[in-house]
Amino acid sequence: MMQEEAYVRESTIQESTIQGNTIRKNIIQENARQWKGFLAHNINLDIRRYERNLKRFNRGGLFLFTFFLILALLPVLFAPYSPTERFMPYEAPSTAHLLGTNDIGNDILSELVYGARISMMVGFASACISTLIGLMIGLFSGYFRGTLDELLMGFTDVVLIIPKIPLIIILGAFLRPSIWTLILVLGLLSWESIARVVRSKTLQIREAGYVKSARCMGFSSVHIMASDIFPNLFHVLLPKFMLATASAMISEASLSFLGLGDISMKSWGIMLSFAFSRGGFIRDMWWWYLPPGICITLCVMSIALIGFGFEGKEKENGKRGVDAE
Amino acid sequence: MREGLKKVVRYAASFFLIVTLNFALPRLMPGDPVKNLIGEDVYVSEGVMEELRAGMGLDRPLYEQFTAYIGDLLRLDLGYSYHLHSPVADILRDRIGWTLLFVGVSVLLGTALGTLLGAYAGWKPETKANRLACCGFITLSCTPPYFLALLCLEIFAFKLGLFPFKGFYDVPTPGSIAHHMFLPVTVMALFSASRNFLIMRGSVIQEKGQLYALYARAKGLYDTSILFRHVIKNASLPIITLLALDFGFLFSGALFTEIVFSLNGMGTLIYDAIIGKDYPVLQGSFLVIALAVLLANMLADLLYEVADPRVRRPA
Amino acid sequence: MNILLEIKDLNVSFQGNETENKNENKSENKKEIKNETKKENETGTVTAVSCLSISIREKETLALVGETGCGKSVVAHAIMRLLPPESRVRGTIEFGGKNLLGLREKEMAKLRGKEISIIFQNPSLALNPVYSIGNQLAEPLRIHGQEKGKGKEKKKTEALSKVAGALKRVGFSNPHEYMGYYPSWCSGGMNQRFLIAASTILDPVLLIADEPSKGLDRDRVSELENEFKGLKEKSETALLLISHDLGFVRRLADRVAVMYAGEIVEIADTSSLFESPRHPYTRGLLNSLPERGFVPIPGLSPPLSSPPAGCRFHPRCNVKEKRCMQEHPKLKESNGRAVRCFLCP
Repeated sequence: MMQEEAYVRESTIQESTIQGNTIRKNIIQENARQWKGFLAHNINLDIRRYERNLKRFNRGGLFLFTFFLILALLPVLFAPYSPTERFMPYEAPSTAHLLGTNDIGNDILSELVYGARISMMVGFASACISTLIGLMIGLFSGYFRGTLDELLMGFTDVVLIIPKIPLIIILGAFLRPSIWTLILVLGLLSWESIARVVRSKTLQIREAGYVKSARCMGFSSVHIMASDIFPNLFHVLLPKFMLATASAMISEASLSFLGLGDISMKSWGIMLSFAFSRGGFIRDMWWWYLPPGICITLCVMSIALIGFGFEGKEKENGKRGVDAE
Repeated sequence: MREGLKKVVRYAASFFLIVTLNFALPRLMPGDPVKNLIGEDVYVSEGVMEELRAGMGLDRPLYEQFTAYIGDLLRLDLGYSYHLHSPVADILRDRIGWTLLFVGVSVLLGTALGTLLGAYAGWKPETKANRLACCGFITLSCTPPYFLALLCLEIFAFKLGLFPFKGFYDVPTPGSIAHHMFLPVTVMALFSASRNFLIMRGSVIQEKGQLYALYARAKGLYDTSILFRHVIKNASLPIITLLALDFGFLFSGALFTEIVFSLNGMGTLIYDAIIGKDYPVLQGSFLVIALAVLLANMLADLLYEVADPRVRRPA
Repeated sequence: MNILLEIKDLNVSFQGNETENKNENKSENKKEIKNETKKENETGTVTAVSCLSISIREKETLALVGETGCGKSVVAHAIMRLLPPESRVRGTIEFGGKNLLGLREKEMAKLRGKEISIIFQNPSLALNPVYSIGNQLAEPLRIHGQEKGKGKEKKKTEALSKVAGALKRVGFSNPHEYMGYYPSWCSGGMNQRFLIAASTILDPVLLIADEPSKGLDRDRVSELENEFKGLKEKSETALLLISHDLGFVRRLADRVAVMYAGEIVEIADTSSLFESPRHPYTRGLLNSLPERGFVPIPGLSPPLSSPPAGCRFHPRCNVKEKRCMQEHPKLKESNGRAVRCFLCP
């Protein structure tokens, strides 16, 4: 649901909100160059203050994220019951069931704990796919430039315009709802901004001395891309990967809400959807619908904040990189 | 000029891709294409199935089907919904007006709110209020839209009883419509604002360090008048592009909000179509939404040309 | 002649806490970041300007020269009070009987652009890219518009004619065409003239030109020179010219103040300074001119965060004595000139 463009960083503005318009892109890049200019200390201070904020966010994000990760990896430690075990339905919170039970008598807390794994898996798996596609397209387009670049970036722009959620809804409706198709569809449809960022970074790196010298020494393009360029892309990829994960998680939750999720794998989104459609809402059972919603928000936020943090660090690294050249 | 041509080609390609996707999906997806084209839960006899197959030309070669499909599109024939017993185009025509009104109003409100607050937050990022706003909007942008809608519905409509929780109006008067639309529009506006806010904030932080901002101060402007007279116009340029790209996102967000608030727009239409496996309606909706987003993007490109003199540099 | 602007004991320092300084090093050691505000390693404050006293008389042109990074621009920005908030400015800057440093921001804003104007060194960046030239030139008129009784339309036409006049003054023969232009459509030289027109449209009493010739080629510099000369003839404006281009300064200035490492080392009339420089640094500067043999001053300017003890110039001075390394010389005045050197009479 949320495309990564939602985020605030300058590089993000630079990269992803731009579409099919090289002039516009040039201008924004030019701006970026300009602001470093006269009296740069003025804003540098602000940005630094801002980065410090982000670092603080990042720490908070990291803490939350670790918590959710442990939840996802070792649900047995936290869940009092198995998520499929049945008790009395529609029970209010009590010492036996801290968050009550749902319509078929499952313990909601246990469901919540086990849901972490599924929600996060969907997010990370589809982010992996989209990052991989984006990396490939961006790398080739940036490294070979010329016609290939025009074609690939043209294609990226074309895909960028197609509204994702409606398309995913159609696909989801045609295909049997399963977690794997969901991951695949989400992954295949959200690589554009990653491709753009990777491309611009590749364009920058390929002009660096070490890449030029590697080319002079006659290494193959594939070798140069894999061993010289790829390691330097890591800093850009990581934040993008995190943001892609965050947005995939929100998309998953939204699709589950429409009944396009995998009912056999109860993610937070499906829990929320069930709470809405199976009476949790009408019966005013806040302990049913609030926890999964809050978990989604917090988890997405923790991942996004880590992404922001990486982006901030990437910036510094980028600066140092320019220095070195 | 070359840039312009490139843009036209890209838009044409997007258009083509959208139409092709719409054509190809029911034919490529697993299952009987006839079923895929009329909807899964429709019960028809074998004979009727064969009739339909011939009638839709599914036994003919693909390119013939495609030209026939394009012809249908040009005649605004988007198929027939066997669930609702009505042509899809008619159904969509009834519904899309409300959704467009809903999206339009909330996008305008959200953009205004997000841009202004974001600009101010970027201008004075260190104040407590602005930091708080920043945290708030980050949280908002990380919340699934329908969860936010659910919360608002629960709190303001059910618990406090301040607003009705269903439909566009009781009686079709502006007052009643406004009353009904208040909550959904607020949710959507907040959502669109959260995205604009973050972009605008970063943009202003970047722009206010530019030399022209200092020069504006040297001319005798001070404090926020520098922001409003000089920085904001530069900083909001990325917002234009964002708005266009966001249109698709907001449209989808609106669908979810509509479902939660039971508004009779595209969202509920799609929701019912998913539940009833009414594929023609789904396809038609996708086509209409995709075209709307395409148009919004073109509009943004034109707007950008007007707003940024650097793009329309004379030869 | 009356003294228009008097700066006494101006000290400008920049503070930053530790983390900021660390980050700063990464970016600020690069050339892209402007000169004097460089904050150096872990040490907290940097004194960009120390104990600076100069005065400008009415209609006079005073030039402030020195190497990049010696604090010239900081002085300009301190007069306009345009320094970033983390700077600490002490001393007095008296302008027309008022201490500028004591004014509130709102009062200061009323002076800016009307009585004191500045021309930045990078004209293409100083003009706002999304507003037309005409709009930006008329802006000081709008900000400082005094006549209230008149209708909007009348004001507008008046402003237009004023803008046209200002553009004509800087050499644009068909000003109405250029008013619709945007900065990005024009060359740097043109933008420079637009900037001068914008800064002088209200006939300020004091015009500060911060490295106006930087980044311009020879022809442009002489064009610029003519403009300033014309400006001086036609109006009552006093000019504070900040530059490191000595030839340019020599042709325009009435008096010259030489700065080194945040201090004034010599002030004199243009002719006497160029004919008989006293301070070893001034001599060094003049010797480094191409027409005088291109002899560079050995060494580098000291970092402003840790200036050397004694005379700040001593590490690079070829006539230094023992006390130069220990004692800090004072600015000594004698018949209209002032020099900061023990060895000069």
